[in-house]
Amino acid sequence: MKKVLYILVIIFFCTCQKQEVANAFSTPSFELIKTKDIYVAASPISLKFKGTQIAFLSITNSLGSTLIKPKIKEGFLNFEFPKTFTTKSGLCTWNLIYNQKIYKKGTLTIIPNFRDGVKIASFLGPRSISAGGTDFSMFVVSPTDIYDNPVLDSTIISNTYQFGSSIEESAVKVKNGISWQNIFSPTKTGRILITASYLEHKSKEMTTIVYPALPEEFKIYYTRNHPYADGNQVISFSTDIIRDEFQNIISDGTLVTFSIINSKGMRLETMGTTINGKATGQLLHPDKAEKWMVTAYILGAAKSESINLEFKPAVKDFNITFSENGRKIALENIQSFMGQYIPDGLIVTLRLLDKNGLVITTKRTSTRLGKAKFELPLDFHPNGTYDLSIETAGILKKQKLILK
Amino acid sequence: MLPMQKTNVLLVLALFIGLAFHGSSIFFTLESTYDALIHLFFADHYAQSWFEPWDYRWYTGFTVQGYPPLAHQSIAILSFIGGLKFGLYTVALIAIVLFITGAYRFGLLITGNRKIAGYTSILAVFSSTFIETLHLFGQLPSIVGLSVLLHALPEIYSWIKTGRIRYLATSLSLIAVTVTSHHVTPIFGMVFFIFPLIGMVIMDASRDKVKSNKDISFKVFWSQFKKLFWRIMLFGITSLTLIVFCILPYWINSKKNPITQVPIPHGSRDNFLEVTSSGLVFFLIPWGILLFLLPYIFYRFYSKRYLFFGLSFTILAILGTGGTTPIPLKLLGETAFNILTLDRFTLWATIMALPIFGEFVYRMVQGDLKATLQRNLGAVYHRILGGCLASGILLMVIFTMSLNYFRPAQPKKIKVLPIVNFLSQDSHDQWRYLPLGFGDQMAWLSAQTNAMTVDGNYHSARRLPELTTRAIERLENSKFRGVEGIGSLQQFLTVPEKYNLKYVFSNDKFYDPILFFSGWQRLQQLENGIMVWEKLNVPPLPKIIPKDDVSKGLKIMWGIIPLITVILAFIFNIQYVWYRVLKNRRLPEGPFLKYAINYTIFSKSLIRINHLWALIMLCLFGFGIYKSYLTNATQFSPTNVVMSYYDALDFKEFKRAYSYLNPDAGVELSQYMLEVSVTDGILSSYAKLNAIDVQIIEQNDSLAKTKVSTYWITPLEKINKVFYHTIVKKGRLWYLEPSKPKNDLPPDQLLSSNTTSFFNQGRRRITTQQTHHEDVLKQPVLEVLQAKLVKHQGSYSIIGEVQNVDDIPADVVIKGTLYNDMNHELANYSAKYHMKHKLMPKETTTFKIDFEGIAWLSTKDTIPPTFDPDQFTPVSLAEQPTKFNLQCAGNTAITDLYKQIAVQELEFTPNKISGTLFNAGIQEVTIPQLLFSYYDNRKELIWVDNHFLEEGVRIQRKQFFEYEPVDLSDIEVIFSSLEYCFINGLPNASISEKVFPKRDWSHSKEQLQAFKGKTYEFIRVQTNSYIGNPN
Repeated sequence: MKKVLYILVIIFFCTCQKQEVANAFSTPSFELIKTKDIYVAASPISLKFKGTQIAFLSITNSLGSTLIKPKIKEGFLNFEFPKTFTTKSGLCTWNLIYNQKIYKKGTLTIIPNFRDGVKIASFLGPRSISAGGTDFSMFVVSPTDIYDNPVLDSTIISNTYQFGSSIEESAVKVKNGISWQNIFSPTKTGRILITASYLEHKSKEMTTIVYPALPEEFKIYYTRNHPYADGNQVISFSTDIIRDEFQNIISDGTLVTFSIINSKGMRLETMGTTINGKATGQLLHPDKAEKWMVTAYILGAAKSESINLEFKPAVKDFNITFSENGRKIALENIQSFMGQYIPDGLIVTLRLLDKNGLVITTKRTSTRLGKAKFELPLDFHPNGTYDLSIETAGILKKQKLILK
Repeated sequence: MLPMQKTNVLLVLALFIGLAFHGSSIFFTLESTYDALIHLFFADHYAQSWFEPWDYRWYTGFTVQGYPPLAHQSIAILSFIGGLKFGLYTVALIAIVLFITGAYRFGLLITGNRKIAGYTSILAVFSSTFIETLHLFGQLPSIVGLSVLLHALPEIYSWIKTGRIRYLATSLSLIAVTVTSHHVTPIFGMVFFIFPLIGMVIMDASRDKVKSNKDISFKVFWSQFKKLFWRIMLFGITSLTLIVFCILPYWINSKKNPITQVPIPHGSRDNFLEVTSSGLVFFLIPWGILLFLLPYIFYRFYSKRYLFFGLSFTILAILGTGGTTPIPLKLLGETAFNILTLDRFTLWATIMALPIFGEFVYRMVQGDLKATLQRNLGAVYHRILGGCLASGILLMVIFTMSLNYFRPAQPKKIKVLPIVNFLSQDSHDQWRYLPLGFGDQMAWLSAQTNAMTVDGNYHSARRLPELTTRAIERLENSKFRGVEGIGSLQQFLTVPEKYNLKYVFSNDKFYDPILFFSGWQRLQQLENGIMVWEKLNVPPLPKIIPKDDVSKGLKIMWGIIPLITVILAFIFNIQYVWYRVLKNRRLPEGPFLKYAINYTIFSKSLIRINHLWALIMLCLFGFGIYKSYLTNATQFSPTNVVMSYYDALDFKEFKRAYSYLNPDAGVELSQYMLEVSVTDGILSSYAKLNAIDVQIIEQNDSLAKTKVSTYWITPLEKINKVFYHTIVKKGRLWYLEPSKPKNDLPPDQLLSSNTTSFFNQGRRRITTQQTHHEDVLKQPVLEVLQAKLVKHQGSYSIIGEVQNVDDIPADVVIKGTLYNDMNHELANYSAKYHMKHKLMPKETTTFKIDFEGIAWLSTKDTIPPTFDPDQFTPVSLAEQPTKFNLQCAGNTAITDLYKQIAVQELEFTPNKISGTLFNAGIQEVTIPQLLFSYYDNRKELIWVDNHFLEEGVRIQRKQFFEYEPVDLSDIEVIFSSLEYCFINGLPNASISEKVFPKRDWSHSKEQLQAFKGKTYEFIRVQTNSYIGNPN
């Protein structure tokens, strides 16, 4: 323990003494050997001082500071700036420091070096805009030398952009290291290619797509094979070419909703997406006589005029036959508009009601070759008198049924 | 020089056969066991960073200090020689050797007879409980721990008996190895193996004091106990200290992160009589042939010397019965019962019974039992009995080994390399991933990659409340946990941003619909058939991820102690090992050898009782088989045939299903298969039958009408569907009447369709650099048309309508946040099913955000006990949400843009909306979805609901739907404003002004359908479609 104490005391005294010695030096003198104040980036910079004591040079630029050691030769201190400092344009201040005191200070200016090459960083966004002149993409250009030093303010950058057959050029001044320009959309759709140049150097090509503006009112049509409600043909609704206010065809994939009101006031709906401005939506023919009113929407933007259409009944009548005991019921001869069998799949609904008019059984089947069959097995339907109703293609038939 | 000890031929034989049999078969079984790959993953962790206990790859980070490391570290050390799997198999081989020799030494300890010990070791090789633990469960650490414990027992006996300090050293060194390989084994081993062993030592010491076993009185016993007390205490205290010290970090971790996991159902806790599959795996197989010998085992265990083992054996046997009797629950208490897997008790009981079994076989083969049997029942009977016993053992071995073959516990082996490559390409590992339907192979995948997943395979280590509050094993197999599992998965898929979860690897198409309707999209199918799904708008993982650090001291302890215990155990025991191998010096005889008994007379009444017992067991088996035949006799009754039919449908065994149909109905198999193949939809392609209830409405001798209520679990919702079937009797069998196929014919044979398709190049230049700014697409602009905070049935929802106002299709993510009056955030969640996630240009969708369990900031009081995806649990909050914030993000969508589902017909009755959909395009829609929006008399949106159709819509065909409108009489609009709505981070108002300045608001109002309901006047129906197999 004692030893440690001694050592500590000795160390303490040693340190105290050293400081005193340091402070005891007389005032040194340094003299700057005058050189130039402005340098081009990447050219070697060195400062020379006349003096004997070993001083340090602290240099600071916009990125940071460092301390450099001199090379001493014949009473001169020669400070060579490191490359990271010589390549950075802007102000570079230096302080000659000796024993924690500044003895000399000064400032150098380093200017960008465009002889070694130019890099043009360019940015464009958004990459798509709407036609019509209100929407725009911003083109930002930041030319630098190869050391990444920006050009000086008010440097002229020339922007060139192409749209359709026109190629235009404009000059933009750099401010704070960048130049920017808003490229407003033309009234036509297409793509705008933009590039920038500075001195003989070019930027790469940037693109912004001009999409059409909002769609305008349009018309719709329908096509169908026949006007009969056979429930088995496709009716398709289509729009004319939908355009925006500048007569551009609206973009592919735009959703058009065909909204249909039928005779009962129900709203049916089919959708289509546009290709070359035209959208098509499809529905099946109804299976009973109907009147439809169709309107198409591009929600919030455009709407078509409504069109009306009518479906004539395809099935006019059908026969019901019963087996002897009344348990096998068949619909026969369900004919379509030309007397042909109605295409398979027409839904037939049978309801069996008791004497009080309550539905006991509801059975559904679909037609095959113009026929539909029902069976009422004894196990579930005891003998007796029932009311029977059969409905298909909008035709309802009612009659008494005696099961034996 | 003393004569050399004879090599025990039976032990050598056991080792030889054991290594040949198990050592070669592990290569075909181990990787498809439940646990082996988990241990492999842990080993991979140690191989990568030995001293760092934190692993980021599972559960958003967890500590490996939650499981004793010896087995894992051993695999890791060996992996440096020949890779992870080399390590795994080497450790497994070592475990086999340790187990067989351990069984030998345990047999020797119990019986004191080398022959019997030899028989014990041979029986150990073929014991069904060992086969199951190794080849079915893959519980390597447990086997190693137990085997080393068996090795420790003779040493402990010797220490207490002789008091020689070297025995204390050997026993403690072995206990330390046990602890570092498995934590539960020494703790329960203390109770169930060491306590009875101590009892046996005292009993033997007492025996030394008296002339015969009969003279051992309690007094003698007590005096011997007092004499040996300090040895017992010394051993007890030091071993306890070792148990604490050797895995100290484990105990500290358990204290710091107590297991908050809610109990996860385990088959070993089932009532084995009700859940027969659990009974098979956790009772019948481990007990195996021992079941027939129970009277003998109990008789022997309750002899004076083994009395304590008898007690312990009884308790173990009872605890192993799980939920069959209420005793285990009462003995263990609720907590322990729900945390422990009770199969380990059966494992210990059967291992404990091995020496007695060995003794039995010895007596049967060459002892007094043979003599008695031959004398009384004849030599032939003895041989038959012996043959039965041998074939019983063989049968159990073959049955257990083949179980995995007939009832695979795991999905087919997946080639993980394509997934590993995918994850390492193109910075995909900067996001988390989630495997679905991988089984335990997910651990192998995790071990191969450094990418992280939110899931994991060691549920005690979980920290996310979303997981710990759910009784599910893994997200990966959540469908097997029914509604709760799917519910938990949904939460991760709905707000993947929270977990930086971007990729899902799906090995099970069951999960596809839930992914689609939660807003995920298919990216590509890998060459191994795994479908990759991705979610847009998920931020990558931050560079620094938080972790729970532990002190350096603990890390070093964890890293070096386990292997040191092995080295020390070697040093202490090695001399014996060499003696055994070289036989150059006579081994000190174990003090227990002198308590071997002479087997001279086999009690006749025991033979009788055991015969009777075996007969009863045979009858029970027979009855069980007959019972299962009756319930499975497919066409025995109308109920059976319906059940079998639906079972066949559920397992997609259509040929079997067809065999239940009335053969006279005129439907041919080819016709039936055709009809089945053309039905698609959530019910036929994505549902799992959860329960079925068959009700017979009317029945006579030859005909029955049944009402079948089926309960299906689908990835999206529970579906309860009622079917009616007519059942007819032909001869002695019942048959279903087939339903008629649909006659609906599509109009066109050949049709064409033009659609706009999109493609996104992504990164155009091949570079590992961050994506160039000119390759980044603009986010499509959306506009919120309306948004409201509403309260319905006590829960809060944000509803509204959003439109894609851009010129390209958009993938839409809507995240809502609720605030109270004090602008304090209460909850946030994203829209799940109640919206169309993909919008074409100018398309609108209504949406609804429900706030589920994890949405709320304090999860404690809000999480419902069981999660039901359909049913919403109202949240009781002290604070009332009064406003909301809506963040909508659009991203360019290029897939799932099918919009050709039309509403063909619509019909209203007061309580039902029915109609028909028509598929006008050329893609088969697997799951059509209808979004119903409700509007009040001012045509203001007040509610959004959805409805999935159970069947798909085929091309140019119709599909009917029925929907019950909701009762909105208690609907309350709390806040309605677009002020806090943002699109891609920009205020909605500015977008509205710029992109859609002259919006015509009348359009959306014109499209409403008048429908009078409770507090609403109008509705709107929108369609959305999921295509299972896009062309």
